[in-house]
Amino acid sequence: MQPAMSNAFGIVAMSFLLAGPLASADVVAVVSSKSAVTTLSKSQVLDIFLGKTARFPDGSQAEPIDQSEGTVARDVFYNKLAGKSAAQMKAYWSRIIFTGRGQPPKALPNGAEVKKRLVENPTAIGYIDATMVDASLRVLF
Amino acid sequence: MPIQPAGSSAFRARRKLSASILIGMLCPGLGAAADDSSASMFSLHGFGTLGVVHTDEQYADFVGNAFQPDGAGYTRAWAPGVDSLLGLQLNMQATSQLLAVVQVVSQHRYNGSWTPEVEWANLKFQFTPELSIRAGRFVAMPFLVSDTRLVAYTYTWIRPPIELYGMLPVTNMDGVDANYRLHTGAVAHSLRVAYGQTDLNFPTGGELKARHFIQASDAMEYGSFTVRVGYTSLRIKTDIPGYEALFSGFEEFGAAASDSGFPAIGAQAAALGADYESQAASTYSYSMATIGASYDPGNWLLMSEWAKAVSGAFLADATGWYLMGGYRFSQLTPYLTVGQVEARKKIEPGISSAGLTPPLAQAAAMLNGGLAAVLTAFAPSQSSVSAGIRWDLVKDIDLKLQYDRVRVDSGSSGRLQNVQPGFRPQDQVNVFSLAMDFVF
Repeated sequence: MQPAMSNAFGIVAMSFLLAGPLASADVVAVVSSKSAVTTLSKSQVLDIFLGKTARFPDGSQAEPIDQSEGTVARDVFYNKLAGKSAAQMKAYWSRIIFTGRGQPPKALPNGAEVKKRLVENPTAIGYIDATMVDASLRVLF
Repeated sequence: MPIQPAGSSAFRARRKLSASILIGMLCPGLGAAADDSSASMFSLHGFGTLGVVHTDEQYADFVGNAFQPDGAGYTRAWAPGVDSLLGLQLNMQATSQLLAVVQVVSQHRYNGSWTPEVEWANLKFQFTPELSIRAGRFVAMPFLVSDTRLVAYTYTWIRPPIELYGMLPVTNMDGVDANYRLHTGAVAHSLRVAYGQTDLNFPTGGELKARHFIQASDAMEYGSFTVRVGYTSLRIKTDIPGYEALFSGFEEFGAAASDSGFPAIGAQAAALGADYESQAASTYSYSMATIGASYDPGNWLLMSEWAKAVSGAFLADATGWYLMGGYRFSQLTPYLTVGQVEARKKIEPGISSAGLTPPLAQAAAMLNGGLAAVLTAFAPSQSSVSAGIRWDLVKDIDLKLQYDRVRVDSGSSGRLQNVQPGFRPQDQVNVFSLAMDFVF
């Protein structure tokens, strides 16, 4: 019992520590600079990432690209946009998956992969650390 | 829609067939699901709860739903069957528009077994991004979290409040439904209509057939607010062993009383028996209107639902509601819930035994007692206060601890099962539950 308890407390302590970088990282929503999309509000971007709409406001198909679970960018992005923790997002997608209503967006392992994908595909939308932005991308906010 | 007689071999065969199709589908699915970077058409998901419930009540069982044969209390001090379950779901995205979903769930069933059953097996065709039609066996959605009733990881409680959710404990139906999404201003609507049927078995050996099972709902989302209004209507036919014997007992008593020189009482008893006999044999309607709301801006979580059910035959009309609030402190979410269900039990004085000879009076009392038990079983009234905490332990796993203080109304057995002669309704029942939920 004793080691299990201290393990459990260790996990809690770790999760509090992990919450630290959330405040410091700056994550921005981006599309390819070739994309027809120039501006989107936070709630429009959130609707696309939560699977509530499959289209940009102009009616064209939108392909949201997530970063993998456990990445700082992902946690910051959903915390900033929806005020939701990783566990809350997991619960949200579990609700969607286990009702057959949909699947979470495709996830890539890091910001560099997301950037590559956005440049290849002008209908894609993603989020990356602000320091990774260059001329190939357009920052939405 | 084909009408499947409950319990017929055709019906059982169909369930078995669905299970073997699933097993066949799982095998290619398993390999594909492991490699989640490939655009595989299969995805395999699972969910489960490992839980245990303890209560200080000794004369009745606390159960998770009306289909569980026993629970914590009278039958055993610690019951794993109240909340524990395991589910597997295979999604097959055949084309960009066609999705096949099969879900198999193992849980504590009416007959005491844990035999996995096909909870869902349906095809969904997405005509447009807004409109989809589904056919087969799919979720029944009378309430706000009905869509993931079995996936406890998706909600805060150990189980949704039984006062309200027990008003229609059905989790699936066979039929067709249509979902349509639209926006009115900043409000996103999910409209749903469903038509189907289902067959259910009760632990007491009773069967229930629900036909013309209609559901209509609109779930409206606006920012952190969700409001859902719903309507469910069905035609119920129950077949419960012992009822026919009880009601024909009234008629036999009536004949005996008339023969013994009590024609008025005899006629009354015979009429009573005939009336209830025809109610028991009738197909009656059950309809329920619900409204639910949740406010989930981030750390705070508030939820409330209300439902009113109107029913025929001996099933009492009922009103149920709950209110819950919680606050997320990082991985810990403490919460409080109050809930109540109030059924309007039919007033039935039974056979008036005034002036009867002792043997006849005794028989009348027995029959009246039997009738009262039937009406009580169909009129659950109770309230509860619950406090609990959810701990998001690690990715995809939570731990929950919940205390419920349940108070059953007088003249009722509430949502308890296996009620014994020593049971005293108005005493409070203390229920302690511990559960671990997971998704994968």
